[in-house]
Amino acid sequence: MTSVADIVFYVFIFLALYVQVFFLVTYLEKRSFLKKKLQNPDYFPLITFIVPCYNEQDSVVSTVNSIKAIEYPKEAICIILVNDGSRDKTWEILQQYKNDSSILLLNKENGGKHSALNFALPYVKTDFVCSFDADTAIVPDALARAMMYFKNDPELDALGGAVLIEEPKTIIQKAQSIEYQMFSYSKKMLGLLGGVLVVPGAFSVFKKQALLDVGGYRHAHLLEDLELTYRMQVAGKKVSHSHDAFVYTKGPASLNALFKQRLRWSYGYINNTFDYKNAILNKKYGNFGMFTLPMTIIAYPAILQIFVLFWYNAIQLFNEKYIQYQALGAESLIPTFSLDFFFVDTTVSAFLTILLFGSIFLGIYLGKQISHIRRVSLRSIFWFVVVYSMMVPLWTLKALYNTIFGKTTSWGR
Amino acid sequence: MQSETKRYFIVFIITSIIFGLAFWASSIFSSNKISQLQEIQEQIAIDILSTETRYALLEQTSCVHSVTSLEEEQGLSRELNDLARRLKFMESQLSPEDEDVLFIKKYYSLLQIKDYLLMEEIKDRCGENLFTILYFHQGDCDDCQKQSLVLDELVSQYPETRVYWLDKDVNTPAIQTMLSIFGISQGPTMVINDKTYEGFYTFEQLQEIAPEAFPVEKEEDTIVKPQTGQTETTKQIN
Repeated sequence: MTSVADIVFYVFIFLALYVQVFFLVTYLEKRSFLKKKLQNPDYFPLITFIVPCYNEQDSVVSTVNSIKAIEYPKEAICIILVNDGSRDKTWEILQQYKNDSSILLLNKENGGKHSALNFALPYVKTDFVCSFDADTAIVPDALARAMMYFKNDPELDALGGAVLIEEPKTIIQKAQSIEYQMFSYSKKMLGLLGGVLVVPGAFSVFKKQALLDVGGYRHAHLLEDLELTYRMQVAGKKVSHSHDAFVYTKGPASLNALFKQRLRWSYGYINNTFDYKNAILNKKYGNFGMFTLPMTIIAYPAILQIFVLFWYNAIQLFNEKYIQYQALGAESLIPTFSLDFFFVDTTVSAFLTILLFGSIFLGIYLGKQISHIRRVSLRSIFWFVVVYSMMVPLWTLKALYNTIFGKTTSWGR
Repeated sequence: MQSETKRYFIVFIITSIIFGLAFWASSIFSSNKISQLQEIQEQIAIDILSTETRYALLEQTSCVHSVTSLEEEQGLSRELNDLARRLKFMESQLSPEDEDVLFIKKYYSLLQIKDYLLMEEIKDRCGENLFTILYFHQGDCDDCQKQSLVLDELVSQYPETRVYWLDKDVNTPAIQTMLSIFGISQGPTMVINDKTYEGFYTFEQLQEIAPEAFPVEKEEDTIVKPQTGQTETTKQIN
């Protein structure tokens, strides 16, 4: 007998598997392209970095240093540091660059990240703009690699870089390092399909004209990079992803900080996607409308469902063990390993769950291949599974709650 | 766009195949397990038939020779337990309403009742030392889960004890008759030495109930706390 709950479970698992197979088929299709030896960069157009700074006194100097150290002609780079009304010593610290001819310092009242980016746009004199976060470090060859995409495809308007977690220290950062690694696979696949979901604010390169064409940045429920990407996709701008141009970000170190960041992301995702609901399953927008948006929407109930199932099973197992304890005492709980295949779970949902987890681990593996990460620690994968299986539904539900009841979500700092 | 549509379609086909494989694999394993259950069941049927036949042969000779052989009886007890455990697992894997499971359960219940009657007769006529427990249980009851675990443990420690696992929800006239004979309304209920014990009984309590069948090996002071919801009644079977 199949109940309604079973059917709902099967439908979501099917859709989740569909997404994974979609990525895998794309990967196999483009495998040779991805394995091709990287070209030696030989395209160095003038470019301006815009770095919005809000209370970044501790990290902005190392960020600027990392930009200044990149393998790119020095005279081709301009950096605009925008102080968005920081309440700490950011502006004072920025004064050390006062006499640096390649750096422009701007100061404004606090107005949010999007306002800082827009504030800097009129000062950009180059054809290319790079949006860059003040807590991010760029790998020396990243910009040159990114620019090769623009050389190889003159039509390209925007390019997202690959973001990885820098030297993860805490459990929370280790979990994120696996997540980012997995993302670099799915993001690349979306990029190859022309269905990029988001060019990350941490590191993305635009043609200035394209950015101006769509009207610059908006407040966008505090997720300006996602909304800008949506707007460019809908406007027919060409958006891609570079898997070989890396930047490193620290990532929130504590559970609380991660929760706040993800609450903002989920809230921003939900509200921006709602604003662009006309693009969902709209053939006009290609893979972005037909695959990317539906896929991310499906992910939400699917994750919630897995969470509910996980806890339901955990509670059931606990209850069973508790009954056993009541009946036979504590000694009976010591597991005896009698390998009787008969008692191995061989239900359909067991197989489907294994398939789904298998595809997640495959994603982590392929992300490692694509990003040329040498070693992946199994412990980090363990923390990834633990932290995310518990936390994703919490911030998702809170974001939904905030959306429905009109609560505002903050940057959380 | 043409090739894009094709991709969506191909991915759909592949996903469907993978999905189908999960269903297919599951059904292969299930039917494999069901046939394992059937094998155990057939073994039980043969064992019972063997006892029955021997009893019929010896009936004339008024119990000079022992009807039951210890080894065989222990084997049968183990099989009965084993099947009960496996059936319970299969119920959780498939569903309690699964036809195959239900069929095996009915047949298994009847076999047990038949064996029970045979044992009672052998006990009466030949006075052989057989210890039997009729155990009535039902799905979805925490006390039954506990009692089942205790009885499982009991049989593994005293293999000559015969436990008959009867699911009171199996809708077969023989079971329903048993229920009314012993006046059973809900599980877990055990019938030991013609006495009815309703509610959960711990391992130690069972040892106290039938010290002759379950000798305590170590001299230990076990304090038995009276459990709520237990009732003890004696009923004459006729």
